[in-house]
Amino acid sequence: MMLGRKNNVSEETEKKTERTIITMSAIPTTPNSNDVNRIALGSKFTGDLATENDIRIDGDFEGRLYCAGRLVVGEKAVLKGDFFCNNVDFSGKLTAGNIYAQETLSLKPNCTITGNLFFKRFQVELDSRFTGSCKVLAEGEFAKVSAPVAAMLK
Amino acid sequence: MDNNVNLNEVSRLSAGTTFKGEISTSGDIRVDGKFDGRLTSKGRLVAGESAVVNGDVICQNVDFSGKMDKGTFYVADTLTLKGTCSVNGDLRYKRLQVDLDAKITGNLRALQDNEFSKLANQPAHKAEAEPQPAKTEEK
Repeated sequence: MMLGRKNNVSEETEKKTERTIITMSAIPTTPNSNDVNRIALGSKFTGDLATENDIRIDGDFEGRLYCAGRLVVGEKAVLKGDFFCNNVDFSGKLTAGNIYAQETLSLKPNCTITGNLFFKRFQVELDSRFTGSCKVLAEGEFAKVSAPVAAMLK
Repeated sequence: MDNNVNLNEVSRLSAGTTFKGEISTSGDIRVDGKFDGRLTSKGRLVAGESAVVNGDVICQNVDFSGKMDKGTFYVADTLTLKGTCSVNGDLRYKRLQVDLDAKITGNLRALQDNEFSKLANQPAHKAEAEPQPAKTEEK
């Protein structure tokens, strides 16, 4: 019963995310279409990124990333480094590093993770590949570890 | 940006985002946030009114409405400076368009043949080590 409910919640979240993206592609003139950061396939970002908004990665990112919203990592994305986010949906590849999710960290089918995961809530779907350690965040731990990158927003 | 461009293929730094480092992309990129570093794009850079861009920008085309405090544009084709922009830096381009009320401080110079391809293939650290004005004088 519990499991069933959990799955429903995650499916709804996923549908919502998908719907947002579809709406954005269909209506490029929507004022919100520029609110979501995007690292497209064929793009490589190396460095530190901090954002108040959501971000979707389909390309390569290496460095540190702070996201006050949701990080969505597409199937073809390749990531390396430290990621501090509120929520994470991960379908791509993490070659090395750490992911800190203040709320929910969700590993999607066919994702490949080599690294350490820190979170409040954790969900792993079948066919995720995960090598590393995972740990529930302690009180105040997220704010502490994310502070250096989050400070870029000030 | 053209309406027929698939938004999923455009990289984007939104307002409320700060990025420091290096970006290289085979496609277009839109910036509304803050960027500091080196950006290489085989496509078009569109910088919105809220954008703050510092560092080296090496692109095929640029539409710039934002602010540059310190940096250099290397544009293989057309550099368009919109009326809302404020640029303090060096501009290298093949073709230049400046709208009324654009605020520009710095050097403007058309790119010589092959100059852009040399630049675009240079690794980041080499580009910084080799000051561009000196290179110009040699020619």
